[in-house]
Amino acid sequence: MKPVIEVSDLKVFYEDTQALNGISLDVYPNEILGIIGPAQSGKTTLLKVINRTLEFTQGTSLEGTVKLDGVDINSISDVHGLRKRIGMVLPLPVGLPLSIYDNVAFAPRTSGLRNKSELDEIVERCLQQAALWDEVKDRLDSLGTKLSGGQQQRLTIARALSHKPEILCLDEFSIAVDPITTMRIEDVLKTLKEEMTILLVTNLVQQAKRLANRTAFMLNGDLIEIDETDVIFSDNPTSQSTYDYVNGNFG
Amino acid sequence: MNSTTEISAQDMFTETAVGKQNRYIENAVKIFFLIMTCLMILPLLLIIGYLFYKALPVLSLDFLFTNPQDNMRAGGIWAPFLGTIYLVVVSLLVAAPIGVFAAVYLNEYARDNWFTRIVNLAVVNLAGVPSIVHALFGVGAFVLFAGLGESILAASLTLAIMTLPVIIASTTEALKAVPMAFREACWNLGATRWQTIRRIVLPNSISGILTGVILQVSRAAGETAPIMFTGAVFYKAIAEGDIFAYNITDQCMALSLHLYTISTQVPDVTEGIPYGTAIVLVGSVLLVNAAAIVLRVYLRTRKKW
Amino acid sequence: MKFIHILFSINGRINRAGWWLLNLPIFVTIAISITTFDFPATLFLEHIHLLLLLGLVWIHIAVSARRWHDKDKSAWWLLFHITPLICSICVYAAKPPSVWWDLIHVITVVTCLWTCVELGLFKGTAGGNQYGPDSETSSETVIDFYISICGISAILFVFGIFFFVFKEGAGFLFSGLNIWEFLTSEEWYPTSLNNKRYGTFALVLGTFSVTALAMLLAVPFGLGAAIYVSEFCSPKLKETFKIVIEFLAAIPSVVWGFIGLTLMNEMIIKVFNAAIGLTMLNGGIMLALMSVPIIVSIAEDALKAVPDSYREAAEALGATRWQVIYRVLLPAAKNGLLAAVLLGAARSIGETMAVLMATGHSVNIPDGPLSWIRTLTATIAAELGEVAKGGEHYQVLFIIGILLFTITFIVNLIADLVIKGIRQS
Repeated sequence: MKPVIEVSDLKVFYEDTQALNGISLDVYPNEILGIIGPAQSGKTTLLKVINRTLEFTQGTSLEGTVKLDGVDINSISDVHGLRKRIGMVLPLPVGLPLSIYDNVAFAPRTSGLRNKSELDEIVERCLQQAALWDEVKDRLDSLGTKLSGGQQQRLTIARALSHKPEILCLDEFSIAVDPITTMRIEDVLKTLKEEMTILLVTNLVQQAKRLANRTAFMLNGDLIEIDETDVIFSDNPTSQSTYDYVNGNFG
Repeated sequence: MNSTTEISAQDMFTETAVGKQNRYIENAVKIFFLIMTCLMILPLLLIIGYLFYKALPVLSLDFLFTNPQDNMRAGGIWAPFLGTIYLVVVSLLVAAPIGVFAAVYLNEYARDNWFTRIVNLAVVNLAGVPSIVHALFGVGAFVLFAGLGESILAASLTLAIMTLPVIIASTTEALKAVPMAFREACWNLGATRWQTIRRIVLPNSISGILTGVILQVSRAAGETAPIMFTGAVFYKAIAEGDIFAYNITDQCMALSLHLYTISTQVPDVTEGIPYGTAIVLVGSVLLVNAAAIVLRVYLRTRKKW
Repeated sequence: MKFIHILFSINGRINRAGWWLLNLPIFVTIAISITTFDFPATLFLEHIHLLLLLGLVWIHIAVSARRWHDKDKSAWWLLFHITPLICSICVYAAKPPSVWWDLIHVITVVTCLWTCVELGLFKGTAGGNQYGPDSETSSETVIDFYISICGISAILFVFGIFFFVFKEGAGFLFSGLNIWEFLTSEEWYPTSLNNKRYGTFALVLGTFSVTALAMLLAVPFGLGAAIYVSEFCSPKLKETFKIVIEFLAAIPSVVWGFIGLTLMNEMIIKVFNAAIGLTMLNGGIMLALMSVPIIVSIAEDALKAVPDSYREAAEALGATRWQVIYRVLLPAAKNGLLAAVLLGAARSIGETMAVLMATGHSVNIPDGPLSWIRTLTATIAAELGEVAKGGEHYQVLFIIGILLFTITFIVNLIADLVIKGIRQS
């Protein structure tokens, strides 16, 4: 099977410190790839490289290539088009200071969609996919920033889905969400897998075990191991540190 | 045994001599600083009261709507009043877009490098250039080099450049108040830099931007030195009541310069007229400032996050 | 390079919005020029105007060419509206006797309007064409261009100020003016018939003495008020004080001058039994009142910038508020306070109207607060209106301008470095 994302020998530098020490991995269509690892291991940096938002951080440079469908992403001139192909959910929910409706309709509008009924349809579909529709359908005009943290996180997911991304990146989405909502979102992810590829960076080891087809373990900017989830969570993964981390011996 | 511990506990909280002294010093210091603050505020009330009291005999609507008469010894302030409005409006039209865009550039586009630091330094120094040097610049650049002559246009351009830092400063502050997370969220959705600014950053910093624009108006209305040699004249009669009486290539009168003229250059002016002119000038400037404050307070109450 | 391409290149494509954004300012500029100035007589007289106009016309041509490309048509289509336009201008300039020539103008209006509709309203071809990819230059790029230009303009203005003031004074500065005498002589006789002398020492001394006096009054009050507002005040009172200070800052300098001329003049005559109250003291008080708001607001910012943890830590050790202030806050905020004083002083040095009206306006070496003085700024303001353009005296006034610019530039630079110093530590 042909990979959607091919990362080869990726190195990232923040001014004088190195955040990624040359990692290579492939992501295949319609899989959930779990990425686990302790803080400062370079998980978020990897996601920022993929949708090229690392460019907004001062003093970063990178070596190696990241290919999306065989095209080097750093050679793409329409960087905004690239970001529209990738949905991104950040750890802390950010509702834009717009109404709930406008939050979800933001991305379709920036790409030039004006048709009201099409926008209505997108907003309803995305909010339903993010398991938020029932709670907010009667107050779509109220401010997105006034929702509770968990609701805002689901709003963020709805927004990330609004431009029908091929790849959905979630960066520790469950930090600001209660356990019940987390379970609901996890169910959503299982169905979304049919339509898109999902990169799930998570601080909850068990979450990766529940959801991911394959799991990657990162530590201090190195990719220690990437394999079928069953293998990573088995009693004999290739690396000792993987075993230790998964079983809670550190991190 | 029991009683002695109670007494010593009480002793712990009775004031020592040092403590008492400290408290006195504390109160004395507090009152001292309060007096200093009030001594600063007192002149404001005193001045406005004094000007108003002296101006009372001449103040009326007619004063505003009649031209100066009898070699500026009598009459009203229509020509200078309208002139000031022209100068302010034209300078605002120039300074507002440039100032807001400059702040957007410095805050949203510029990376933190030596070039940006130079631009910032330039803004700081632009704010510090003396007004009379701006006047010299206006004479050299607009009146002579650009060939605009002494005109409302030349004077307004000089005022615009002079007041630019006011708009840049308050716009920058307003832009900084919009959390970075909003921008990142937009970029992650594939919005371009300008889409992010137009849909999220500007709508949420509009109050600060408007405040800056209003303050620019108040600043421009009061300035004298920059317009003295670039377009404002001592005397020019215009049609009373006609708000289109000036052309932008004309010279004009201005309230601030008029106040200077009648208080220093013209002998035997009717007693109340300079005071009336001063109170109209101060009144309009303070009114505009008050508007900025009201706007700020009002918009703060409907903050969106 | 990108910006040069946007403005001047005829290769590539541009979308509708981009075409409007670049052309509207050009149309507006030309329309204003035509309606307000005696077009074309004055406009073509000055070479700078001609250059500017040609530049604008070239931008219009280049952008329109790219717009035709966007519609997958050759740039030769430009001739469709440019040719009649040129004919029209020739006809206008030559003013031939027959009214039939007016037909040319009608043709011009029609072709220009049609071009406007064609270029301004209809979309280009979707996807790439032989001239480049879709929306090779979009409205985004044009807006980015405008924003960058405005941002960079601040530098241009500062250099422009220096350049133009320097340009007007340069002639006499390099030939004729004795710079040593200019700086050290106290003899300022620019209008003397047989022995013109341009010594600014008394003026410089006037400026600095009145500034020093103003700072003597303003600094204690300003810092005291800043401390009170920042450390002792309830939030509500603080808000009120800040508004009052804002109002104080808003009073125009000419009004301060007027107060000095009337109210303060009488008060000084009464209190000191002086003959005339228009003295250095008068000007100093006015300048103090004008610079106090700056000192308060910047000093308050500096105190606010001291982390609350310092205050809490000190108070937890049992220090009183005053002890916290003078042992912890003042040392921690000293750079900011210094910057506040410097910026207040810069304001005083540059102030014109108030000192022009309130200090007696006579060139003197000051020998006390009740002496009459004159400052650099007041000299320019008082004399520039009465001198012959381009003469020696006129140029000397511009040289004084350079001197003032340099002094305030240095003071502001130091203040800026001092503030930067806090941020780094």
